[in-house]
Amino acid sequence: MPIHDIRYQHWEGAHVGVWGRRLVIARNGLMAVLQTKGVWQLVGMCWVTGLAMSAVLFMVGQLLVADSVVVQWAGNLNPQLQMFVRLLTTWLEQHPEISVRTTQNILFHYYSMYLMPVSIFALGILVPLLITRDLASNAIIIYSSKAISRGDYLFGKFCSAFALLGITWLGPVCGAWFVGNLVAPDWRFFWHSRAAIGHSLVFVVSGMIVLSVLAMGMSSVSTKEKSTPAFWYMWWIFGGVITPIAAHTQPWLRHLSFNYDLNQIAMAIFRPADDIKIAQDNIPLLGDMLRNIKPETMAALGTPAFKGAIVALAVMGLLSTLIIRRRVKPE
Amino acid sequence: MRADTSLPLIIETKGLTKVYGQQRALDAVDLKVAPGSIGLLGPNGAGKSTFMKCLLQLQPITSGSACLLGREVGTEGREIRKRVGYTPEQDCHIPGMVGCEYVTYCAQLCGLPFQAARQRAHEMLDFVGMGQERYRKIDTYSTGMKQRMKLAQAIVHDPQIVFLDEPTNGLDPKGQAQILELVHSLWKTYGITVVVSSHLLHDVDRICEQIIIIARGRVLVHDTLENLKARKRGAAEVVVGERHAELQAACTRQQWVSELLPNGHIKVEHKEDSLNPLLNLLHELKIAPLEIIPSPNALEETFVQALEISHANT
Amino acid sequence: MSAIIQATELSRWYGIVMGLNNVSFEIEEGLTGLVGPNGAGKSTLIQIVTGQLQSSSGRLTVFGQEPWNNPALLRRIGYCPEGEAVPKDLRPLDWLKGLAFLSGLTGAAARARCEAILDRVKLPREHWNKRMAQFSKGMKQRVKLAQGLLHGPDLLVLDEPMNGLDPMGRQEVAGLLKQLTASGVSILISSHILAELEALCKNILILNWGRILASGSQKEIRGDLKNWSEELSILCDAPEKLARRLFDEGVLIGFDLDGDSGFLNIRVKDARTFYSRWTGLLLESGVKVQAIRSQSRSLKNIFDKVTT
Repeated sequence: MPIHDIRYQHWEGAHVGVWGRRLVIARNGLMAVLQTKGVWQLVGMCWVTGLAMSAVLFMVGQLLVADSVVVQWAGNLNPQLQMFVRLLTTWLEQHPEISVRTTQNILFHYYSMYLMPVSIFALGILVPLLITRDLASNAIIIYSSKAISRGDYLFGKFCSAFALLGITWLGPVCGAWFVGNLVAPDWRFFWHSRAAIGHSLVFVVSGMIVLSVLAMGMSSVSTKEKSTPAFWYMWWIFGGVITPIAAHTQPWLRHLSFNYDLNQIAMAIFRPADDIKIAQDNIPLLGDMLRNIKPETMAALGTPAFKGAIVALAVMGLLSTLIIRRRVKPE
Repeated sequence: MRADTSLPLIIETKGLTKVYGQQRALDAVDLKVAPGSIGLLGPNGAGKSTFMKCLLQLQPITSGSACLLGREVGTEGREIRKRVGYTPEQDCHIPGMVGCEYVTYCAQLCGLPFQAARQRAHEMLDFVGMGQERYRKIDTYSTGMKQRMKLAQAIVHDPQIVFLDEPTNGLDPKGQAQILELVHSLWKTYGITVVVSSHLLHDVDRICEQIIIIARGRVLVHDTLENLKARKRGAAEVVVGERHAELQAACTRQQWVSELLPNGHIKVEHKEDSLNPLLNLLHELKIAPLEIIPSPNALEETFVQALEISHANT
Repeated sequence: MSAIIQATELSRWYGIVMGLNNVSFEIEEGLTGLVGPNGAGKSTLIQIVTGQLQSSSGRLTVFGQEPWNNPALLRRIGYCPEGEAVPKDLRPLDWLKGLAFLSGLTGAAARARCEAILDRVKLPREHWNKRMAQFSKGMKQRVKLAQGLLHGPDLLVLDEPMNGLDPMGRQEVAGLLKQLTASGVSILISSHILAELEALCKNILILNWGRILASGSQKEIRGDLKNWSEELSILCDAPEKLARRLFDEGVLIGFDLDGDSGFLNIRVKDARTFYSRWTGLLLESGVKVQAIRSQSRSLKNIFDKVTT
């Protein structure tokens, strides 16, 4: 037939399941933030630090091999340094369980904590694009008339935030662990560093869940796209200011800062105090250096305010949920 | 036209009740609606919008049941909404996207796979008459374009029924005509049931075949427009170029009530079932009628009458 | 009939953007409708009439004076803007009392006047002391109307006054406007709902692209549009019979039958002779006539013709 019918056509195809629709919402949110200026650079920076971390792991790995690259470099710099390094290397080689496990645990503790503020910063960029914008333009009513429920919508938004944190936090951590152990002298490094990656996964994933929920809550607080990220950053900064002050006056006030709470959880998971004690007792030279750490610091490291942190984060999470339930309605 | 014989009733409610605190917004509403173009009328705050919101699950039902497309609204909401479209009254859209992305996204939210969604999005944008504007961000659109966009996102997933809340709001006369034409064609040509909720009775008169009037939480009228007009036969608006006073005097002699309207037309209540007696009168007077509009305000009068009766009964 | 509003070569520019371009017109007493597509210059015109904008060139007078910077004249003008322009955190009675004080009324007199006006616009009593944030569109519209009428103006300018009102509300406001006209108040209504303007207003002003396309009574405007073909639509019980009869009489140049609506659409050769025989032909044909329509006579059609 020469003339085609381009009027309205009916559609009888197969529908995509509900998980597919949730994914569409998540993708939409993630794409929105990735299109914002500067975000790709931020993400790139996170992965660059991952590379740097891999390099550090490589260096540490080399310390366990006699006449390694590190020893040679040390020799080029200073013969005494070379002596020191050789001593250390020999000992470490004989105790891989302690050396690999302890050092990687400490390093990944540090690295996970390093990426956390970067991720919180990135989340602040996502906050206005998550729910605030939808509230401002009455999009909720459009969503409500589609084949999704409010739960699907919120789940999709949660996944957007979770995915963003995945590429700024979890991804670089896992990548650093994988590449760092790939360039290690021995395959057994993967096995010996299982504690490090295990702790990292537990901490980072819980941190991601918590931060995503808090970001969603913050995003629902107002309909103004400039206000909600401002509130997010203000809360973060307020937490940073109050933590050192409250340490001397009312210690429980420190739990108002989600950054501090997550710090405490990290310490409870990674248990750096134990690692340092092991190093103090076992590792020569390095252990001596570590014995110079003040007892108060050791005490603080050894007793993280874990319960308080959990409670505080649970309360914040609950508050977020309440705010979201109240604000995200089809009316 | 697509005839879906497996669904004789597109909307069915039994004892549908919605209570807001002290107020009974809907009071045991029983309705059986067949597919077609339906006009939903009612005073503000009297249950009309609540009725639509309950069917669309924007509000939970207090008691009773409602079936849309043969499925229970309370339990199968998600499934039903795969085949339901809605254009809300207020200004709303999903931000941060250009027109065609927005409609594609809406299609995907109703379960269409991406390829089909993208294809249909553009087809629907053609259908509603959007040109190159579809590649611009929605925030930059005029009222007319936003209304068309609302319609496009409501039909992109090929619904069986579309709810339109004040579809011509804010549009200039040309825009109004275009949207009404599109909505009219949805049922007439493509078999998609449309439920138009509007205060503009002229619009409803033009495109709707069935009329439902909801007031005080109850259904006062549910009938076809034709039947309603037939009941109101006996009045006509006569447009003549000259000699209005003579015509009025002649009507008075015939004992027909007549009124001169501000636009120069004369409303005559002749109480006959055709215009022939009136034509006879005009022929005798040698006045040529330019137009004779029968039951000009049938819908409005039905509406007012229904409300008055309901008021008297409470 | 004296002119209430007179414009002589009025222009208003916003830099290079045109608001009104060299318009001249007169608006008489009574109800006048202001019609035009979006962006036609209606808001600009209304803002100049209500003294909110100054013209770039030319002159506009209301009751013989220019509205700009003229509080004495503005006392005689009432204005109801478009949209939901009421302060959300106030109660209507409080707001109106405040406005009444601005108009020079005090104390009990102000309160009495406010209550009388709220009654007149039919805002239910139980809402008088509620904050307007909770009001529906229709209620906000009534409060807006009340504030426009509060100081007893001689000219009322309304922008989409029926927006959000249900049919009963529309009837009430239409009735109120007719009452006001009868009592000597002139009203200028800007609206997109042509059917309502057609029913309410004697005079119409059509704007497009900042220029006046037509002004005068509906009758005059129709009379002026001569170059249209005479097209009629008739609804009857035997349309083919009627068509054959009219064709045999030689008065038609064409006709068609609309299967859907049942209307017989005819095009006549010579309007003058046709109309002189019209009623006779209809009656002689023996059909039972239900309706005679002429799309070319509606305000909508005039609007379309004039704006293309």
